[in-house]
Amino acid sequence: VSRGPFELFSALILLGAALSPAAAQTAKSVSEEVVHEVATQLRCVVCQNLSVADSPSEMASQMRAIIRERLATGESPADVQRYFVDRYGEWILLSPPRRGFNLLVWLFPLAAVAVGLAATVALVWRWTHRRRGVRPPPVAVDAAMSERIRRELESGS
Amino acid sequence: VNFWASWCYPACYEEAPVLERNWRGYRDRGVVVVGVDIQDKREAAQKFVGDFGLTFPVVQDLKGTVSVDYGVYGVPETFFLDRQGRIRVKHVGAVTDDVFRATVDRLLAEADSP
Repeated sequence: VSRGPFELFSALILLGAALSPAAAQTAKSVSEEVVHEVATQLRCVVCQNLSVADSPSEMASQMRAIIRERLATGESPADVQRYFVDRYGEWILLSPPRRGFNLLVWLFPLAAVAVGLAATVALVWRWTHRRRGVRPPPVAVDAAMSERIRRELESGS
Repeated sequence: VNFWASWCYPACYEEAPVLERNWRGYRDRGVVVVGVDIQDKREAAQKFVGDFGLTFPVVQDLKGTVSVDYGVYGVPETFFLDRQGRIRVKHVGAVTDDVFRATVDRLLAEADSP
């Protein structure tokens, strides 16, 4: 079997592939944990409600690579997050930041629960306290009617 | 700047002739159409370019960095930039002749009158 130029070429490519991760390490080494941490907070832009960490799509894997590269250049996780927010808006954050108008998103459910609890307590209190306070209004019964009721009670027994 | 992919059927297939036609019609006035092929196989992309006879420059965004820089969600998406290089209009979905002409005419008129 003769080694043609193709085999040599393939060997060079393999060698290059083996060396390239080492070359990338000359930048700042980035732990996958930090990449994952940033990725979990970003929405995968082509999928519905999946984080960049959880999506198997190619776009998400490219976004993970971008996160890794930006961290490698020395950017902080907050810088990387800002880079994505600058391009896609806060929509890309799976949890909206707790400030400004977004506070409504966080506070409204709490307020709704509080109002609901208060309404329930008020209603229950009214239902349990009404009976004692309010007497049934007296029914006007004339003498003839009283007499008839008395008779029917006696005969019906 | 038009983001597309060969697997984006039918929208990208509908707009490819539109882009080519308008690139030919407007190039003399300094308008440049650039295609950015994203998340695609090279062969499939080259076949697409060949099938539609695209003559405007087309590049492949191999690592998705251009797509994310533009905040692209999917394909097709087209960004109309003015002469200062600012993004002025973002169009989601296939570009039609009407959209292309109206947008580019407006930006050209703006550039001509200081």
